[in-house]
Amino acid sequence: MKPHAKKIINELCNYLGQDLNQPMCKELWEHVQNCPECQAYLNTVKLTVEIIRDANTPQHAPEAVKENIFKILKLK
Amino acid sequence: MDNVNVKELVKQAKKGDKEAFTQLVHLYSDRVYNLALRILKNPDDAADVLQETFLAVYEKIHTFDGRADFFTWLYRIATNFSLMRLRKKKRTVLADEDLEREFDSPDQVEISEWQQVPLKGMLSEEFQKHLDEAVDSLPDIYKSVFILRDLENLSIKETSRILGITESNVKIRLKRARMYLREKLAGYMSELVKENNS
Repeated sequence: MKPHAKKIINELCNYLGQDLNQPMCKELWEHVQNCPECQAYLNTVKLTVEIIRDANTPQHAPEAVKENIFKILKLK
Repeated sequence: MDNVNVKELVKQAKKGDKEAFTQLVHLYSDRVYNLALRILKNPDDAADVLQETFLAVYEKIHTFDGRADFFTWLYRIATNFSLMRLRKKKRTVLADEDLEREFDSPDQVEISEWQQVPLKGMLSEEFQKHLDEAVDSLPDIYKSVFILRDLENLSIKETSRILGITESNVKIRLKRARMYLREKLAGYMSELVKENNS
């Protein structure tokens, strides 16, 4: 696949810090909304975030560390 | 988490109420630990950050003026400790230009093929290692934004307050981090697709 979608999204990304109502930015965004290739690319970005999120299961803080905090601060 | 209760606990803790501070440690230690673990990828380092954070909070809680949420203030301290520790470690991180280069390269795998990769392969230990390495190779300014916004589910506003950067900057860095990680994943996906088709 040619990096058309990547180029568009990257360009759009460069405008994110600016006014999104700028004509150039608006034009790019409208293109993305109507371009299946850009939409598909965005979906793979979304999937990437979901996969990384799923792989990072939350864990409990070690009780021993909490106990140590209480001990140092003489909270118990 | 009940916001009113937290405000009350913070108020009492500021007056020196030990029980209130103990409650705050119980309420937030899991989240602080997970944040540090995500940034540092090392349980021992994350445990140290957890301890450092609450010791610092205990010492500085009288300076907390309540203008921001207690949680945002606490997270800022924990993020700073994590990033300081991360900088001390010898790591190879990318420069901005490297991220740009990744975006300009042709895709190594067709988007339609993403769905062909078995989920089982995705969850393997090797795949997890690739993901960890990809996130770890992000420059700190991108990594912290990605972790706070996408893994910790904080808002753009909260992320900007914690990191002390503008909301626009958060958006730009977040988009770049996501696109970079997507490219790294695509590289590994191509290997999985090849294996799957052979």
